Amino acid sequence: MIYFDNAASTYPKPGSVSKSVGNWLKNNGANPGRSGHKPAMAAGGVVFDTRVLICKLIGMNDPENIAFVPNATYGLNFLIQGILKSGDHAVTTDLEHNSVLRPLKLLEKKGVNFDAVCVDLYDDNKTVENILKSIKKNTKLVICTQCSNVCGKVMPIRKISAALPDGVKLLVDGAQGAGIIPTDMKADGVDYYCAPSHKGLMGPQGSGFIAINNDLFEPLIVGGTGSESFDLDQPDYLPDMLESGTLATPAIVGMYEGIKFVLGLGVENIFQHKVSLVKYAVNALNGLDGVITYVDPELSCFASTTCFNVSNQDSDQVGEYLAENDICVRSGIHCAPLFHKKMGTEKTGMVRISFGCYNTEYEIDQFIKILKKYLKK
Amino acid sequence: MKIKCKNMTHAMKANRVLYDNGIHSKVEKINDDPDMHGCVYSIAIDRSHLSRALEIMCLAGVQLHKKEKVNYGDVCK
Repeated sequence: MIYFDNAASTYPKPGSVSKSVGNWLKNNGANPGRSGHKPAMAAGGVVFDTRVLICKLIGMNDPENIAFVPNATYGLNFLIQGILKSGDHAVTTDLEHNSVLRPLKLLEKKGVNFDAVCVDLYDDNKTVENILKSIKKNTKLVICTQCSNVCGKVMPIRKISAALPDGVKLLVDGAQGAGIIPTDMKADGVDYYCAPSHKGLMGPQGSGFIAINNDLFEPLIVGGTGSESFDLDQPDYLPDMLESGTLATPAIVGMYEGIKFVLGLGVENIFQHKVSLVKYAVNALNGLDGVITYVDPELSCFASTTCFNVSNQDSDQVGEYLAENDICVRSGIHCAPLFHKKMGTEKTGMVRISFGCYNTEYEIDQFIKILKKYLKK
Repeated sequence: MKIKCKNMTHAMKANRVLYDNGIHSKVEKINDDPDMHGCVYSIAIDRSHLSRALEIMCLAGVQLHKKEKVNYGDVCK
């Protein structure tokens, strides 16, 4: 089997990840931050150590500013719905996932307005200009993906943050960037960041995090935190404010090992590997008659992920054939409706191939061989 | 002696930063104080280290529980 669906969830995971989760479930099932016995304290310790490791990964100092959430979608909802209030305006882009677009659409009913601006895939200055043109007096938040989940475009986060007027906060969706693109929240000027464990961080599904480098906001979910239990108001400090209910400790244990693995390889090395695989794949796809590619990785920075179609065929047909031949890809719309409108692929969708740490050029060659067979049919 | 921290995360942070500075400590849940409600975590240290521990914790941004009697004062200014 060749697994090219790493943008959905990375596979396989490092052995240390599955081993640590198995060991945890076997030897400790306690709830962190609730009790004082040894297993509970051990659970608290591993949760804390994971916050510290996340800080190291993304250039943050204070582990209490990392809050665990079930996944990036929850994190984005916490942030978008927590920060934006009636009368506020937000700016986002046409590369965003529905995990950004749908919360914004929901908030429209509550008096929040937003604009989704065009990303120029080859001219970052033009993209920044488009964002700035959409800024209004009441713009509170700019929400931007770190890397497109369809075409792999790496967004110019530092340029965007540097250009934003005072008072406009920057929220970065790191779903396709964490553990893949070198990230330094402070140097990049990012106010809020969130990411899941199970993609570039190589951890299990079931957990993710929010990192906060700016003002707090109203929590979307409140409840038991273990702290201040007689006070019916939610604690107003981190991370308790954002962590109601029991954390997914086994997933956090796995996330810890996943991040250790990523830091061991080096994020810059991973990034270069994934940029290089995209270039190799697009070059190979361009050599096939009847295949349409959508980006030129020689002209801008694209990492991890790319997409194609076969003539004007439905992408699902191609995806199905590849699946029958043990090539795992993702066809369809990829929860990114504005990107498909931009590229004119609303009807066909696209076939997305997305690479992980373990993928190789040899696997791309094997995939191309299978695709050639499909083209001959 | 025990210094009550804002939450478990801050107690863990104190534990790590004190360790990095050569001071042994232990994170403990407060179970013997009738005035403490909910899950309150403290950092237990030898009293002889108090002054230096407070300075280290303050500089690291460890937040203390609102009912903790010890305070940073101007210890790390």
